This record gives sequence, C-alpha cells and structure tokens, in this order.
Amino acid sequence: MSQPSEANFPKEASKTAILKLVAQREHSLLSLMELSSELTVSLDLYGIADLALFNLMGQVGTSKSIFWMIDRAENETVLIRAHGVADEEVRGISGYFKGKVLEEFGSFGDPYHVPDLAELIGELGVSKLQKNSISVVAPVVARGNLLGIVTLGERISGEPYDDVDILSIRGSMGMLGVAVENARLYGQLVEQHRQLIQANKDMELLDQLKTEFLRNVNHELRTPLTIIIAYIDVLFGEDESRGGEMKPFLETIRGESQKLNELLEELLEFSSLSEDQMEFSFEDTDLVAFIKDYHRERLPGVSESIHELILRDHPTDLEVMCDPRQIKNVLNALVDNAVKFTPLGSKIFLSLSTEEQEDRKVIVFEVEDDGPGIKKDVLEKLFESFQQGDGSTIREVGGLGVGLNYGRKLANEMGGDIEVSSQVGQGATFRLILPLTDMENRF
Amino acid sequence: MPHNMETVVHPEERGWVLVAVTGTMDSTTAPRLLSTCRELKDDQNSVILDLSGVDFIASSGVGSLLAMAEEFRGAGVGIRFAALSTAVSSVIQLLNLNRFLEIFPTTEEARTAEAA
Repeated sequence: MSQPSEANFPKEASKTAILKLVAQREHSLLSLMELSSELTVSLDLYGIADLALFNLMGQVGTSKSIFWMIDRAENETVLIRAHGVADEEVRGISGYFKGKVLEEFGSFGDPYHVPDLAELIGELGVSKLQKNSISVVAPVVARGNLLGIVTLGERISGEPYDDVDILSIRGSMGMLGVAVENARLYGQLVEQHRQLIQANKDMELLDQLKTEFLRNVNHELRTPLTIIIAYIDVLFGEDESRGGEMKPFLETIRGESQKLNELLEELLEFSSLSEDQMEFSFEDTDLVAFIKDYHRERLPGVSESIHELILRDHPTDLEVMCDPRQIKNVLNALVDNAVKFTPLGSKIFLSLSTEEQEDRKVIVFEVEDDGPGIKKDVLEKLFESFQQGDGSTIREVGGLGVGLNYGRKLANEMGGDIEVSSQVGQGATFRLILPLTDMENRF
Repeated sequence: MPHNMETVVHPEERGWVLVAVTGTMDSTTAPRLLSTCRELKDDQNSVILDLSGVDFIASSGVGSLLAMAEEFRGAGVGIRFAALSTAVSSVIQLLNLNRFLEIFPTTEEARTAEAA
C-alpha cells in the first residue's frame, strides 16, 4: 500500500476542489481524534462496537457497516453489530470468513478493497460482498492476534476509498483493537472475581446442606439409640435377678451403644458450630436503581463472553422492602444459566415490572434470552432434578441443578418463586416473582 | 466541549412526528436520539428531525444519522431532516450525503412535501 503523496492530490484541480480535499482530510483526522477519546469511555464490547462503527460511518460517509468478533474455539465469526445490511445477507457474508481464511486474513493489518480479496474468499465471496455494496474489509488486530473484522459499505458520495482513506481506516482499526482487548481483559477480571465470590457462596450452601443433613441424621439415630440404652438398663436388672449370666454380653452392648451415643454428641456439636441458616436482611430498596446497577455490574463479564446484556424495561420508580443481596444471588443464577446455555452472540434481556396476581401485587424480574430454547422434557425436570437427587438428569441438563435450585430456594424463602417458559428455537424466559405487599411482614 | 443534547418530541401533525434536537451530537448523546427515533419507528411513526439547534456534530453523530436513515428505509417508515444548522450542513455537504438524506430547509416544507 503506497504512502500518501502528491499523487493523491489532483494535478489540474481547481482551488475549490483542493480546498474540499483538504477539508475532507481534516474531517478524517478529526474523526480519528474523536474515536481515540471516545474509546476510552466504554468498557463493554457492544458499546465499543457502536462507537467505532458510527464513527467510521460518519468518517467515510457510508450507511453500511458490520463488525464481527472471532470465535477462536470454532475459528469463525460472531456477529456483534450490523448497519444497513439485512440479517440473512450478513449470515451469508460471514460464511466466507472462517477456518483457513481467518488464519491468512489475520496475518496482515491492512484493510482490503473487496476485489483484492478474490484469492482469499473466491470470486463468489467477492460478488456477495459487492452485491451488498461493501467496499472495504478491515481486520481488527491487537498484539498480533486477529480479534475481529469490520466491513464498510460504498461511500454515499460514490467516491472510491483512496490510499489515505485506507490509512485512516487502518488507524481506526488499531484503536478499536486495543479497546476491544482492554474490554475483554477487564471483563475477564470482573467475571473471575464474581465467580470466585459465587464459588464461595456455593461452598457455604453446600456446607449448610451438610449441616442440615448431619442434624437430621443425628436426630434419626439418637432417638432409637436412647431407647436401646434405656432397655439395656432394664435388661441388666432382669438379668441380675436371674443369676447374671448375660451380664458380659449386656455390658458389651451397653459399652458399644454409649460409644455410638458419644459419637453422635460430637456430630451434633460439629453441626451446631457450622450452623449457618439462610440469612435475610430486608431494607428499603430503590429497585429501579438496583436493576440499573446490576446491569452495569454484569455487563463487562457477560460482554467478554460475547453475549449482549440488555436492560429492556423497568418502571420509573419502585421502592420496596426487600433483600437486594439475595435477589442479586437469584439473578446471578439466572443470568449465568443464560450465558452458559446460549451460543455466542446471543442476547440476554433483563426487565423489572410489577403485576397483579391472584389478588396480590408482585414484583417480577425477567431474564430472557434468544437462544435455542429448552426442550419440553428438560423443562419439566429443570427444578425437579436436584430435589429428586437424580444424578442422570442433572448430567443431562448439564449441571443446571445446583444454581437454579438454590435460586428457587431463595425465591421460596422470600415468599416467591421462579417460573420458566420456553419453546425450542424461541429462547427461554425465567421470571423471578416476589410478593410486594407480604414481604414487609414476612420476617 | 460539554456533551449536552436535548430532544423534544412534538405530537404527531399531518402524519409526521417532529423531533427537535439541540446541543451536541456525539458518541455520548447520539445513542439517546437513536433510541428515541427507534421507538417512534417501531410504532410506525414517520419522523422529522429538526436539526436547527445542533451546534456541533461529531463523526459518530453523522454515522448515527446515516444508520437511522437506513433503518427507517428498511422499515418502510419515513424520516426527513429539516432546518440543518451550519455545523450539520457543512459536514453533510463535505461528505456529499445530500442525495441519501431527505433534507428540507424548514420543518414545514418537510411536513408538506410529497413522498420521494
């Protein structure tokens, strides 16, 4: 690619044309400066995509742009944003950028004019891009790694992209690459931190379950043991009156029973020490601020996994008595499941509302995804698997049991429940429903 | 430069909803305008954007206008741009976007003009 030179300026041009060209170069330069400051603000992949694409479109004067990230595991593209190109066309185009094409494409940092891609993606691929009025394809690279691909449409003015334009686009791609890499690293940090805290909570839950189990076992064993020891004392008296022939045997039985009783005492002490009931702490909570903060908190981690988290609906104001910490625990279980069981590039929608249900007012948090949906037979067992202790079912649904079951348990403790609805191919919706009026008096 | 932008949506008149924009259109403020216009488009409202009060438009602001025009076109809903301020019209002319955007000197002309 040639460096900008006098050849880029028309030799026979009028003063007006030259001034216009200078103004256009100045516009490109200003656009680059704007992009460099704008990209310092957003730490979410989708926010960065919006910033970069709108800047580029305004920079070169096109209404068409697409941004894909690269899924390294599958060696193919994941759509992040598209403007001015129909969805089915975008899917068709992305089919040309996978496998070996991506490996070769990422070797160079320069944007391509579409015709120059013939060797890489074939004439059919070039034709597909041109049919959708795409003129430039640019790799997004950081630290030598191909992170994504941006395509830009033909300029509305009809002017071709010259060498200086390509330089400017390359500069924009460099800034975009750094911003995307930073966002991913930040998202990974935030997500790992959150998962550590969650793992800690899971350990506490398991500890609590163990404690309950020990307490139950303890009670079930101590009662018959107490009866056995009591009857041994009766038998001692009976045996003494008959000459004491059974005394050695009875002493053995009493000795072993007492050992067992002492063991159970120790177990009881142990379970009391590690006792940790599900604790709730109700406080006045602005739920609108809560859901906005929650969305902001989860955004980097969810974006880093190449899922888009969108806060869709919420009331203007809603202040209630509730336990925001435990509500957050439930939402985490629902969002984690949505991230885990939907493909890359999927959308997850959060919303908050109130409803009238059976003569009571309820708060509803909804987590909806546009993933593949849940099969009917899996849906029916979703919350039953853990309760039944059916290990095979848990494995079948891929470990959904503990997280969702814990979430439902928390919801039940707060007087509410979790509902799920889904159809294959149409995503899934999980609703956390909590009573609005009862919660204040419940605890 | 302060990132302030206000949008005022006026009630529908003669089939067009007027959205008056004032202030700066950049990466911070343009998404809000885009969101407002998308809601109107989803309700099948044709929109006139009054840009007389825009004192600065960044490239990202221009990009969002182009994206908006493309989305409305795709949805079969009308969008017109009226009373462009000097800041906006100079960029539009520089990039030769006049042929792509339906631009009118005043909001009244935008409202009464025949469909393109």
